[in-house]
Amino acid sequence: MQIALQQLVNGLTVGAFYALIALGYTMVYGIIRLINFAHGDIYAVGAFLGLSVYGLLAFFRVGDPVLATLVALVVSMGCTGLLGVLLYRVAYRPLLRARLSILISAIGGSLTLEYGLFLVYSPSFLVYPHLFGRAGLTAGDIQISWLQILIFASSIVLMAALYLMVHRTKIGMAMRALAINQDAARLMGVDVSRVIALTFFLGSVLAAFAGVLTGLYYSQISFLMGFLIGLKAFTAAVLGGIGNIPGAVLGGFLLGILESLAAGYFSSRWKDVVAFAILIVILVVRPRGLLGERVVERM
Amino acid sequence: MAAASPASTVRTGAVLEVEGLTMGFGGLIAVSEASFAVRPREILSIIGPNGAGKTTVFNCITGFLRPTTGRITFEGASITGLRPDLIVKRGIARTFQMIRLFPHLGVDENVMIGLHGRTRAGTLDSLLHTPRHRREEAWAREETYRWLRFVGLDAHARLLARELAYGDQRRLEIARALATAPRLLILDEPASGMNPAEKAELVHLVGRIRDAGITVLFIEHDMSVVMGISDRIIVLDYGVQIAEGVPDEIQRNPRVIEAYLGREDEE
Amino acid sequence: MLYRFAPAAAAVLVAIVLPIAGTPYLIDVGTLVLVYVILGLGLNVVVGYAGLLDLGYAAFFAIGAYTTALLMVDYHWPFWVTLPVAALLTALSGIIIGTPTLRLRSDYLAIVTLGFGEIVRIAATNLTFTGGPEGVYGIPHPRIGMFVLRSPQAMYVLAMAFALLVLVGSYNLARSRLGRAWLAIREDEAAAQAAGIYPVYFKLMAYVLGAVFAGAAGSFFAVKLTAINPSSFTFIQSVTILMVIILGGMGSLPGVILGAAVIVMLPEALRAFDQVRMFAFGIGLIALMLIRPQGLWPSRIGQIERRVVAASAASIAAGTGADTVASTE
Repeated sequence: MQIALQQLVNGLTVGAFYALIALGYTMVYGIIRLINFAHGDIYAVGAFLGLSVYGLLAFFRVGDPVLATLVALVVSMGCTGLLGVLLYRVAYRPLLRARLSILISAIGGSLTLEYGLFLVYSPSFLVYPHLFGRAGLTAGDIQISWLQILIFASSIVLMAALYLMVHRTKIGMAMRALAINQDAARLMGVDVSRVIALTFFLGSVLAAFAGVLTGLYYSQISFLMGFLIGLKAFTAAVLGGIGNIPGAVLGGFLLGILESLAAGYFSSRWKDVVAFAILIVILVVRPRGLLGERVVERM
Repeated sequence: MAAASPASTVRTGAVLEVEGLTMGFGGLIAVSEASFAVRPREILSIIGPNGAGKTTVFNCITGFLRPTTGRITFEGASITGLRPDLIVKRGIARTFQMIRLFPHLGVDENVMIGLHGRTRAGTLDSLLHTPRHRREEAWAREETYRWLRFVGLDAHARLLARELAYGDQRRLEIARALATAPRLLILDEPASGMNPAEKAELVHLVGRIRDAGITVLFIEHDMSVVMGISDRIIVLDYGVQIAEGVPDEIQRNPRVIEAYLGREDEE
Repeated sequence: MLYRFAPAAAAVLVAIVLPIAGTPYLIDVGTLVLVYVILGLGLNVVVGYAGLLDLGYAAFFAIGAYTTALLMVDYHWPFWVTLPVAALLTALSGIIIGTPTLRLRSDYLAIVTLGFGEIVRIAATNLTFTGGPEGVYGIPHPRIGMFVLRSPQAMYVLAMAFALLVLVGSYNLARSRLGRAWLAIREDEAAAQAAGIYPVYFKLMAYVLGAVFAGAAGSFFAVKLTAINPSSFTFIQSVTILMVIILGGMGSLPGVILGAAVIVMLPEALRAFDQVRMFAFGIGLIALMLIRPQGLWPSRIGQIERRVVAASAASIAAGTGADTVASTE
């Protein structure tokens, strides 16, 4: 039971990362039916940009960890968001109707970002500043760090904000309209390309947020960090029902918990297999996921 | 395969029987309790205003949709809910409302693909080009040209399908359907988008198809085409069959006139 | 006519002269090109002919390699007897992974195959009977009677034999009932069904044939290197094989050969630039899709892809108005 509870706490933390990244997959897929293979690497870029900002702030002797983190988050999220838009404009927009070509272009985008980080930063692990330590709450043998609470709470706030934006604002309505019928939305005066670009921006912003927090949580980052977590976040999106925003959040947390439990009870070496096995089983048994309404099979 | 037309067909005299066909999409009922029978070697048209559920009926018959309820019988055997390719093998071929060819493949290849179900070469035959495969390919090429000549496209055999004129594309789609050796051919608005000359040719072609012993069932909007070649006509209105008869009867039927004239604005 | 046949003639000439006049290093490079030719031809059946994006193709390569390696090392089977077993196992794993997933949208298939590739790699790394991260070593050389195939020349000839078999098979497939069914499904699945084709079966066939080709390449790879480990069967390996056929031109057999040669020799020639290799790969993939989606030596299938891309680009260039007209006509 102790193990289970502790793994639950860890699972919720990792799940928050999965959920934040899964949102990017699900929004882009919902609108242009593209599995954005580069999305995991967008997250990695967010982590690295955050690290650069921390480095810069340390150089200018900004010592306050909260202020530094806020600046790192904002700058990284903004820049990464723009990078996401750039990726869409350059690599995807000209290929929107070519199914195979756009997927291959997405793989190209993924490799470009990964090895761009490799070249610009480092082929080995980089260390994030230790700003928040391990302090936190203890209940029996279960430990919850303040950082974990911060990650969980801030992710929930961001996701709620996204949900409200999609469901309560005009631009959100345009996004939903686009997801249902692109041509109809266009006829209704929606600037399709701009809304798609905005979707990429939002997805990338959330990924960058996850990236910086990952750096703080695991205290080290590498240029390939986005590959595996990207796959798993996609799994989370599929698990929850791709195209469905609450689904991505649910899927993310669920996957995080399942994986942590598997790591706690079996062996962490096999935990990645758990994620992929879930992905395959879900796609076979219930391709529309837990909350998905649309039947995704065929067209 | 042809032996699959036992007693019941003889009894009812129908090639195809649709009984109580209902198709709902979520809350929307597209077709409600449609029932009709197609007799051997006749040309039967289904007409009705837009949204009357005609294409839905066709999609149910050809296996592209699984009806909510109802029964479809072809040559005495139920084909309800069967896969499209299996229905083709039973002897029903179709064309689409919006032409669906293989646009980047050759005209001849389009027809040859229609021969798929009549050839047997398997994976190893295809991999090794066994004598059996070679014999079959030679036969397929002959058969292809036979159907291309039948619809009058043999001169264009080496073009790509997308390079054909619109009317020719329609005829190519019919040739591909004929290549599957159907006993029932289903045409979904074959005359739409055609000019008068092309329509006249189409009427002629459909007549020749029937003369070749193939039953023809089609949806059409163009009344000159419908009245010109149909042996019988069925009228659907919002999924419900409102009339059935020979062209003269249909033209005089008050419910048909109301269904059409009352909603002419929707066309 | 001449310019069409000249490159082919040159390729044949190089292929014949290389084992006679080449240094052992050059012959080994040639052998590696042939391995990628086999892999490329196999993946070409899946991606080029049937239009299914497989991102875990290295998994089948791995299954073939491990089958041969383990049977030869642990059970002392002769190389030739391991071949049918490898073919059988790869076909079986192709069926197991393909049957449930091939009904899904093609992009879902891409991600499932990616997951499958990772599972196989992780399993090979973690299981004990596969030798864990160290893999299997001391794999014996294949023999024909008393003659042991050990020299670079002998291995080159063996690779050439494999490659030619696969090449002839691929060529035949493209001009067969099976090949037409694939083309039809690629072009328009509903129309293919209306023509009497059952798409799921033919997709599975493409997937299984591709798996078997990769398995054969894996078997050869094991005896050529005499030692294998999981690092040869990563996602990057799958992408590299994909790059072979995209670079050459999807569906195009000369394109696959050209692509394999470029993919193997470019990094060899640019060893100094190893750091930028994968980065350049990434940029190259995007650029290729934007500028020349049909590849260096395009086939008909490549032309189709190029037209779709061109239409897509044109509708964007023409602005939203034209786009709307095009899609609502």
